[in-house]
Amino acid sequence: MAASSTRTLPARMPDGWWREHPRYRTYVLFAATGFVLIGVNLLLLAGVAALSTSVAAWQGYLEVLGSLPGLVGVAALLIGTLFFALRWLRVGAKIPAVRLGPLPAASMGLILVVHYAGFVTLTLLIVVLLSGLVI
Amino acid sequence: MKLIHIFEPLWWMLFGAGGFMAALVLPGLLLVIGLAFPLGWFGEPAVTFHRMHILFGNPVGQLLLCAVISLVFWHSAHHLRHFALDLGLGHLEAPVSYVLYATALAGTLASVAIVGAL
Amino acid sequence: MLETRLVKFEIFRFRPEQDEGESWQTYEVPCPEDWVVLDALNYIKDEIDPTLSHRWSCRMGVCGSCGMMVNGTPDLTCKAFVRELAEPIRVAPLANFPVVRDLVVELDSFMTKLKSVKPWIIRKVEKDVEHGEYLQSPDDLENFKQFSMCINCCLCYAACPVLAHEPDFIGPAAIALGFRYNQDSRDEGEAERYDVLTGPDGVWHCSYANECSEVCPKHVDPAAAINRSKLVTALQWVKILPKRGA
Repeated sequence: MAASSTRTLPARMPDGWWREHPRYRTYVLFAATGFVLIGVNLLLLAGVAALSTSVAAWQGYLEVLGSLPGLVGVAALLIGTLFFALRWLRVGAKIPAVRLGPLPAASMGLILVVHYAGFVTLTLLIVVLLSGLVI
Repeated sequence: MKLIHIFEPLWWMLFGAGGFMAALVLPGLLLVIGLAFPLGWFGEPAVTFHRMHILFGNPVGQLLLCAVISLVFWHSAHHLRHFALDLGLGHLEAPVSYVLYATALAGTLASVAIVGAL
Repeated sequence: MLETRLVKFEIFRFRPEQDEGESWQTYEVPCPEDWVVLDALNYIKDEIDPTLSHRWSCRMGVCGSCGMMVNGTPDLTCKAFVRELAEPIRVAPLANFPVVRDLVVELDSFMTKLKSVKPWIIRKVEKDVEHGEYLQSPDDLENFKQFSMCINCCLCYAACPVLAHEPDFIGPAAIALGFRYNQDSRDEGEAERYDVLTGPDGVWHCSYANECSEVCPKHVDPAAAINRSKLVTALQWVKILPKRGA
């Protein structure tokens, strides 16, 4: 690129760009859900570790989660996870709507329906399997 | 080209797979294990202990659980890599990425060890 | 006769021959109800302060010259109605570009990036005119048409949070146009564009904020193009899909 002959002001984003606009705030919060998902993972792994130890350890684990701070923490993780899931499924629906080799392009609307249907089905399946209705 | 960039398609595929695990599977798991079990909606701890062992104490259950947890680690690592760039850490992209992906690898190994012991 | 209202504008000023840095200047403009921000800028230039510099041409959302930050959001000033904006209306040059003067930005970096993706049809062997045209079905056209609507207004560059930190990122419009030709059934240049589109300054930089698509005045949806490009590239990387023209 040829050097500019006039003096210019450097390129920049407006100060506080991500605080000022709701859409940017949503985006930054979405990026931060990386921490939330790691938190969920650690919570699940702690549960599995308790399961491998003893019934007493499992009971202790559930008591911690059932305490007031535990419930507040789980609620925060759940809200973060749901926020992540809904944005992921909505925004992500654009991506597969493309012609791949011989396959015709799928419609974005159809993909969105499949995404939400998958979310509802899998959530119900997990709840039913773990609820004791089946086993 | 830096090593980190050669594997971009791999990082992205792990990110995508983990994102779907997190979006489709984690809400249900968290709802039951984090809320329904502790509040006793689905039975006493001894009962849910037994039920969890039936569902996840076999190779298929272990594999599924391991896949979900480790892919979510990879997803998070990649998402936080982009977050770091947004926070202005672009000049540290390679080291930040290596730390994050190494953490995801550690998470994967930990989940294999912990879920494998079930 | 339309009702006229006095509207307060705060305009970003930078005159390189006299100003050290930026400043904001306030103008009060009598705006009829149907005015857009560009009308007010032209009024300021013609009636109040001839030293103000801004770019514009068609006044109807086609030429892509009048993009600016209006109350912090990238917009074409020819389609931003004054009556719909909160006052004072702050007008600044497009973010993520160097400022030449007042509301005028330097677009050289964008022009270089645009050219780098080779946004034209590439054939391995050109067909002679006698052998007829390159036929294309309506489905083939639909596959890329939306991405060809770009008017190079660069609003997407001003909206992109990645570009704020990574100025070498090829960016939304250029990637969308590269993808547009990759998706064109007449084109055989995918392999030639591969290194630029998927290299360190290419699609992988995108963190999918989706802001480019939100501000695009032509509904091009560059975020879709960038992220579909990632999917195609990933499938080519694991050899599920071939690279056309390789």
